[in-house]
Amino acid sequence: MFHPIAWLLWLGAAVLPVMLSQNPLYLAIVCLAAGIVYAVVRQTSPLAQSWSSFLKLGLTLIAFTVPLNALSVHAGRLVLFTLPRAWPLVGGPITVEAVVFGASKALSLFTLLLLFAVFNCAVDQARLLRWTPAFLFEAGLITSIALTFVPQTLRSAQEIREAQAIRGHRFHGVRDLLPLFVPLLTSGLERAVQLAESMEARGFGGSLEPLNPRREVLIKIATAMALLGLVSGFFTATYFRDQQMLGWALLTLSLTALALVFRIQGQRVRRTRYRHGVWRRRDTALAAISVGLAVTVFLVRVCARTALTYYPYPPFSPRPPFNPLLGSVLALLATPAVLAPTRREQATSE
Amino acid sequence: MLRFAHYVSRITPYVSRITHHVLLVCGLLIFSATPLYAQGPHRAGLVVQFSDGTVVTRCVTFAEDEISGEDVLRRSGLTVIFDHTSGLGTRVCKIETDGCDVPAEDCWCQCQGSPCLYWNYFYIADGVWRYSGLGCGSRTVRDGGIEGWVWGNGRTPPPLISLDDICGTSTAANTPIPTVPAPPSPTPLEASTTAPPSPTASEPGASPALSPTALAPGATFTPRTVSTSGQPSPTPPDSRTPFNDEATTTAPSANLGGYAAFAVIVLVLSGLGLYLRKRMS
Repeated sequence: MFHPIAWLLWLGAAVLPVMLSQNPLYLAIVCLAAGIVYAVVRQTSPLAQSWSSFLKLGLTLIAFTVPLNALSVHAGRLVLFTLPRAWPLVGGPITVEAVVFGASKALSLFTLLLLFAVFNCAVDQARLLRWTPAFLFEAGLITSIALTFVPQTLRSAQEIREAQAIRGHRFHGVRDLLPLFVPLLTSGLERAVQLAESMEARGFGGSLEPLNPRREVLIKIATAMALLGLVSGFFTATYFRDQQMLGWALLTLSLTALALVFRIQGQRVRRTRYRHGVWRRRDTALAAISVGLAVTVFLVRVCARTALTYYPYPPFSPRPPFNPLLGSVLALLATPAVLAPTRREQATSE
Repeated sequence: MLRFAHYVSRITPYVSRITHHVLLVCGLLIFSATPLYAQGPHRAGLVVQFSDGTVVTRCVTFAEDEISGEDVLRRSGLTVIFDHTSGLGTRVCKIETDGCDVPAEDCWCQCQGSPCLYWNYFYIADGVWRYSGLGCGSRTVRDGGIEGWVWGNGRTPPPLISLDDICGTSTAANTPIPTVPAPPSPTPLEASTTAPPSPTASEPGASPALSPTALAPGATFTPRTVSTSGQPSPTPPDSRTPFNDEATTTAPSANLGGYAAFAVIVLVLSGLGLYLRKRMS
């Protein structure tokens, strides 16, 4: 539908306001936009079934967060009723403000869940993993093996179960599971050996250009130093307030060094692609809108922090503030649903 | 229908017994929660030490048997900003001019590194200041309790003051609230006589309206009472005005416009969703 990178940018732009703002009105707009995109995406995704039930489970979050916040926070002017003060923790006035704030927290959690449901339904993991940087190709390979491991194991467990059932085996207690586990273990080991052999047959690891040993040691030392500098720079910048300049300097220096090392490492890997991902015009549009939205939200956060925050307790009003401009910018998150090809277009293109 | 009536008649005794138990438990709870007889106005002392070392005291009278430390602060008449957003208790972010403006800033805006300054919460037990392990929303204050708040790093308790110094020897309620300069500290409080090193406070020179007296090392104790009951409290900072309650109640039209825009955006999005659904099917 869209390029994985475009989807990644959209996800980042959508998650940013949810993480930064507690305002229920902005959250409602993001949630609605994500819901529209989800309704479009789920029609073509094989994962939609499981994610839909997971989202239904997510709705029960409201049943927990609202009473919890209402019972534990006793601030606010609009008192619904009062529990006796002698009751530990829950005693005191139960206020509208606490209920509203609990509901907005629940809304933000559910919106995050919905956003990740959209992303998982829309993006094929294998296509996304193809975009791991060159120096990380081993980690990408391990991730892809792990991602295929669980469904493969589940499928083979189902097959073994069926085969044993045909032979007349009945699964009642824990002891009956032994004829299921032993073949599962052996088949898993067999598959692992098969995978290792096929990787070797394809020349795995041979694509790395050899380095002379002195340079390799140098690169290893540089990586360690850069990582150490990264950690200490981050700590200095955030912990010692009067040494912030030094911390940021250290941070930028070590980040540059790390990028350099990664570049050198990445150049050693020769990669070939069998299927190239196509970047269409609509991907450009989605990426541009996402980046613009994220930058807008970030600027609002930096310049006028109070525009995003929501604090219902006195001395503020429980009625959330709303900026129409910011609200309509957030509504742009529904773009993937508008730009997505219809079924007929998809059928003709593939 | 008959079976239903039969069923009802069978469970009725159980229901009535359960109701009886529930009422009994509720009654016990209410009985334990309310005192047998009202004990007149109770008193609690409040000692607040600001970043420049000035100490302000308040006497809070209350009719209940016990109130929370948060209530003491609320009833003191000081301008206090709380933060309830964590859902697990109350944080004190700002008293008068010292602290952080929530939500424009983080509640612990000056405690994000090694010079960590925040409102430290102390209470007097056995004649000594103790750092409270509980938050002000959870700690209960009874008659005669003294609460201390210090803008600092948690190591310096406020000067030791007796309840009579704060509230005056007369027990009459609503006496003019005195401001007492700190006495020379007894042994456990040596740290408090040295004025706290002026930290990176955003607003030095705290609360001129409260006519405080700076703590000087070795200051002699003079029980001078200054009536501050008529003093206007400092105006809240400007950053709060956009969402201030008064602002929203006096000018609801601006907010109404915003809500109308919200409704329009929601309608447009819903229409889009319906249209896309039609196009898909």
